[in-house]
Order: sequence, then C-alpha cells, then structure tokens
Amino acid sequence: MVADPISVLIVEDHQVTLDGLKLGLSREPDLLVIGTATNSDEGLALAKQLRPDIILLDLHLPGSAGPKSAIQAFCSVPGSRVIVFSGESRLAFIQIVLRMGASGYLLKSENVGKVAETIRQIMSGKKAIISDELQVGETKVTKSEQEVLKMMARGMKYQDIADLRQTSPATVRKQCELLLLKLGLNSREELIAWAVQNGYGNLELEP
Amino acid sequence: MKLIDEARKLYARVLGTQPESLEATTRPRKIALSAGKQPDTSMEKSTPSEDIEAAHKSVCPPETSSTSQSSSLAQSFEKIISRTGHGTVEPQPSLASLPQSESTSAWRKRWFSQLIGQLAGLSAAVLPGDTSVEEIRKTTYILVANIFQSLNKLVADFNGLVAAPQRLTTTAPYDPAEQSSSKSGGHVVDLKHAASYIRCRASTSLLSLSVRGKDGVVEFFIVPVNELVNLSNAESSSRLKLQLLLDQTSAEPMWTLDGFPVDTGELNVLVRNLFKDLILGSSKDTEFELDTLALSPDLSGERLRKAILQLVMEKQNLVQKIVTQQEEIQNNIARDLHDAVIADVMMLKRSLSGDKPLSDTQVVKVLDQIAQHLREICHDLSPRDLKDWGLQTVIEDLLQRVSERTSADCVLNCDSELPDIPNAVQLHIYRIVQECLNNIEKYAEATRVTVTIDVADNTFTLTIQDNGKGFNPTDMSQRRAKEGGSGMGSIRERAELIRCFYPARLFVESQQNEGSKVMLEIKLAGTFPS
Repeated sequence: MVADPISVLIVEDHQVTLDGLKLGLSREPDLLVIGTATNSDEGLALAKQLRPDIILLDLHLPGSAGPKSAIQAFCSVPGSRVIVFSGESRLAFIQIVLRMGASGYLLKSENVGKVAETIRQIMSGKKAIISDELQVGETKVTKSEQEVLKMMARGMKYQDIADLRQTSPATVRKQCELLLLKLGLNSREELIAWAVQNGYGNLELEP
Repeated sequence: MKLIDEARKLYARVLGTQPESLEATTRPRKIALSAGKQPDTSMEKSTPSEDIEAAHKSVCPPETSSTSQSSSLAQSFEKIISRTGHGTVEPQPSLASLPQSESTSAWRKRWFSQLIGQLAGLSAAVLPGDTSVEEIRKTTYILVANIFQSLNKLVADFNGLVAAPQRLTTTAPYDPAEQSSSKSGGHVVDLKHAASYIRCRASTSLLSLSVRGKDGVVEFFIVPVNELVNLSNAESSSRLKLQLLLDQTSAEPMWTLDGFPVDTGELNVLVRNLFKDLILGSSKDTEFELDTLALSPDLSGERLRKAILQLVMEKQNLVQKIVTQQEEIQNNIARDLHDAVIADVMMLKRSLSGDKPLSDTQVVKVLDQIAQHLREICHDLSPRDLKDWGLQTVIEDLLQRVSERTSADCVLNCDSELPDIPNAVQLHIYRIVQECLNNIEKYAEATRVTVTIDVADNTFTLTIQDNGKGFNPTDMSQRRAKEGGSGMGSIRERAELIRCFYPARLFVESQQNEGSKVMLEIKLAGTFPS
C-alpha cells in the first residue's frame, strides 16, 4: 500500500532555482509538486486553491506584500505547512519567521536532498527545522544565554528566570528561542535536556 | 587624502613664496600661530571632511574695507551672518572645485587661512602626554587667545559695517602668569598667579562678553558694561553662558562642553552665537534700535525680523550640515569598501594572475568573505530590512551581530506591541540605536548591552545602556579624526528630527568607567509636562 504523495507548492521568483527545485523534488517518489508561482500574490491564490501539504516559500518575493505579511498570509493557509527557503542567514530574521509559524527554514545553499528530507521530517510532525549551517553551536552562546541555560537546567520557569535576571518572561523566551536556533534544537524540553547533558546543571549560579 | 596633500602644497607654497598674501589674509591669526604649536604636526589630525567643513564655516576676512557703510543695524547684522555663517554672498565651493581651482579667488584664501587657524586651534586643543599645572595653564591661555582671535574677527567685521556709536571694543587676553618667569615644565606655580584668571572680552556700549580662563576651565559671561569695574561679582552663575572644560583624564587633553569634545569649528560656532547674543542683547536698547525703529516702528516687526534672521541662519547651517554629512557618508562607504573589500579583491587578482596561486577552495573562501563584507556594508546602509521586518526585529539583529563580534551580552527587552510610528521616525530610532551600538562596540569595551523599548502612557521610551568604560573624550576625538564626525552629534540630530513628528527628549548619561545610558523619549500623544 502506497501512501499519498506529499503535495508541494513552490513560490520562488528566481526561475533557475524554481526549475531546479521542481526537477529535483519530482524525482522523489513520495513528493509531488502540484504548482509553482513566481510572486506572492499568485502564490497565495494557488495555495488557497490547492491547499498543498507543504509550501516552499522564498523570503523576498515580488508582490504586493512585504516578506513579513507574505509569510503570515502563507502560514495561515489551512492545512499547509511552510518552509522558507532563502539566502538570509541572520538569526534575528529567522527567529521571527519561525515565530510567525513557519515550520522550517532552509538556506539556498542546501541541496535538493536536504529539502526533500526536511519536507518529510515536517510531515512527520517535527517543527522548526533549520539548515545545519545556521546552527552555530555552543561556541556562539553568550554569557547571558549561559546563565539562562544554567537556570533552565535547574528546571526554573521563564517567570522565575525573568525575576532573577530582572527582565521579562518574554525576553527570556526569546533568548531560549535563539538558543534553540543556535544549538539546532526543537523544543524547550530538548533545550533543558541539552543543558543538563552539557554540564550546565552542575554549575553554580552567579548571584 | 588628496585634499590634505593639496593643503600641504598650498600651505608650503604660500609660506614659501607668497608671504604677503598670508599677511594680507591672516592678520589676526598670527596670534593663533604664535600661541599654538607647530602646525605641521597637527595637520595629520585634520581630515578632508573637516577641512571642507572648516572652509565652509570659515570666518572670511572683509573683501574690501570700503564696504558700504550701512545705516541699518539689521543690514549690518545680516551681512555679518552671511559672511561669518555659510556665505550667501559667495557661492560655496564644491568639493570638486576645491583642489582644482587655479584662481586666487577669495575662497582659497579663506579656506587656506581657515586651515591655518584650525591647525592652531587643533594644536591648542591637543596636548601630548601628561599635563603639568603649567601646561594646563598654557593650554588655557592658548584657548582664550584663540577665542579672542575669533571674537576680534567678528568685531572687526561688525565695526566695518556700523556707525561709530555702535562699534564694539575688545580687550585682548593677558596672562597674569606670563609676566613672571615661570619655570618651564615646572610644577611649582605661584599661588597668586594660579588664582588669577586669563581674560579677554568684547563689549558694546551696554553689554560685555567676558571670557575668563583658569586651570583648564574657560567660561563665557555676558555682563552689563557698567558692572565691569567689579567683574568677579558681575560674573554670577546666572550670567554664565558657556563653560569649556579641559579633560585631562586621557592621554591627549581635550576641551569639552558638557562632556563632549569641542573642535575648532564648533568653537567658532559657539563664539559666533555668543557674539550674536551680545549684539542682539545690546540692540534691545533704544540707542541700538534707532535705525531699525526708523524702518519699522512696530516692535513685533522687529522681533519678526530677528526670527527671520534666525531662520535664515539655521537654514544655512542645515544646508551646511547636509553637505558635510553627505561627505561623511561617502567617506564611510569608501573606507568600508577599501578596508573590507578592495584588499581581498586585489589579493584574488594577484593570485589569479599567477603571482601566488590559490586553490579553488581558497578562492571560494575569499569570495565568500567578500560577499559577506559587502552584505554587511549593505545591511548598515539599507533601511529595507526595517521596512520589511519592523523595528523590533532589526534592533534584535543589530544586537545579535554586535554580540557575535564582541561576545558582549546584548539583550533587547521589548514586551510591548510597538505602536504605529511613521517610517521616518522608525528610521531615526533605528539609526540612533545603530550609532549607539557602534560607539559601544568601538569604544566602550562593554560586556553587557541592554536595549529596552517600553511603551506606556503614550510614551515610547528607548534606552540603550552598557556597562563599558563610559564616554572618553579622547576616544571620541580619535573617532572624530577618523570619521570626521561625532556619533553623539548625529544622535542628537536624529532626536531633533523626530521632534518634527512628536515631542521628543534625549538623555545621555555617562561617567568614566561607569558605562553609559542613552535614553530617548517620544510622546506619541500629548506633550511632556514642562
């Protein structure tokens, strides 16, 4: 018994990239490219009409909407999950893209194999998948993030951490989001586990 | 660079072969030259943009002594403004025309003589090494002498235009310690001398602008002439108009105003404004208003005229500022490109032309590096991200990048939903943050940087705080010399521009080794309680 293929809509204004993606993905037996568009308006209309499982979306698209509102619009298409595909590698922007509801963020330097793999992972329920290259690793964790990790490893809640650090829970949450990106993790639980495994639970908290 | 070379050439030529032209254009400046140090050494410190700025700002000598004897104070003052300000009398020399022009036209004299003035000023403002009491006294004297020279120029110009009763008088600076044979470099200074002020002043028949200097403090007062007999009492704190302090904490002492270094150009503007206050203050008297009253017996008309003068002057200042800033921006881009990109490109070229072959991987690596640098330059320039993503995200990005480069802890606290602020205002806010972070990154050596955005009671509050070494005037001056502008100045200007949209206030707090805090408050509705 063969499952239905995963339907994919590609919205990308660079023709070469679009053609390459389409060709590459169509070689995967479990994926089916059901439509393509080269601007956000056209793409959004198609998405609403076709309701694809996955929308592969370029970050900067021609069209009436700016990238922020475009992503918001695509993310609110019922039944579709969005993977943003872009050359933009600055974490602050990726953070907000994921916060707006995108399920994945891939750099344009990735090969088609990675794109296909990411599509499958997302369909199996994983969230916030980003390119490996963006996971800068532990060396780029700042001192204040280390402090947060220590507190996380002790099982402290955002509110408690915020109180101790004289900041707000929202700021702590954003710091954790950035940590997830940097470390290539997917959830708060994974972050706590990572912190404990990497020895943050054994360290003394600075007063 | 080209400009500096050109300046050197001009300087050498005039000093060497045309002493008479120097004499003709720089009579009052001789004071500065003799008071200052060797000009050549300080020349390194002036940047092209400063020179241009200085040239534009320059106090030009009277073209002819036979300038029409104006009957109206209004006209005289207007002339002073247009000459001492940013000449409407003559078209401004453009950058392109500066080095090329071969004519012995007025601008070159003006530019050149201003350069000399500036060199003297710079040498006065910069003293190397550790400063003894004696050196501080000497530096103070040199500054007062420079101020007097500026004042004298303004007075001479003004006197050339008005009738005798309205003319101003000046009193040249004298140094009470000068007479005694103070041991050079010695640390022992006669107490009696230490207690005395170095003074100079310019007076109308009613008011006197009195400048006094002592121990690295130079103060400006406007006092009634009839109180000059007891000057020390007359110089009460309520009459203090301006106070310059010599910052001695750093290797190179700098004159500062409110904690920020003052360069010669700024000093000239300050002196000019005080001179304006002196004239306008005096003109309130009937004797000074005789002419203008004859023209316009209505006092509100008089006030209107002054307001218009003020506006004209501000407009000229603004145009000047724009030109200067454009130059600055171009310089910055050129420097960024030069530092970050051209070296790599040249390296690639050498390698590809067979000089020192690189492997393909190495070439790709260099290309990546170039692309990265170009991208960073574009990010700094382009406000496109701001439009696309909003203030919060771009500030977050700025902070993350600073954090990556400096490994300082950079945090944005922003829990409020940002209100709908006009794009122009958002851009100014963004640039203020950018400039503050630039300053912090380059000079503060901070380990923690916090940007806080808070919206409450219709007030948008932005706070940029760091735990670094605070504002250091020497660092600021180095930055100035390198980039031709002061970061804090542009922050103030941005805040000023925000005031076109909303009431806004800027607070800057900093102390040595105590970090710094810049706070911007914008009232989105209503006004600040006074």
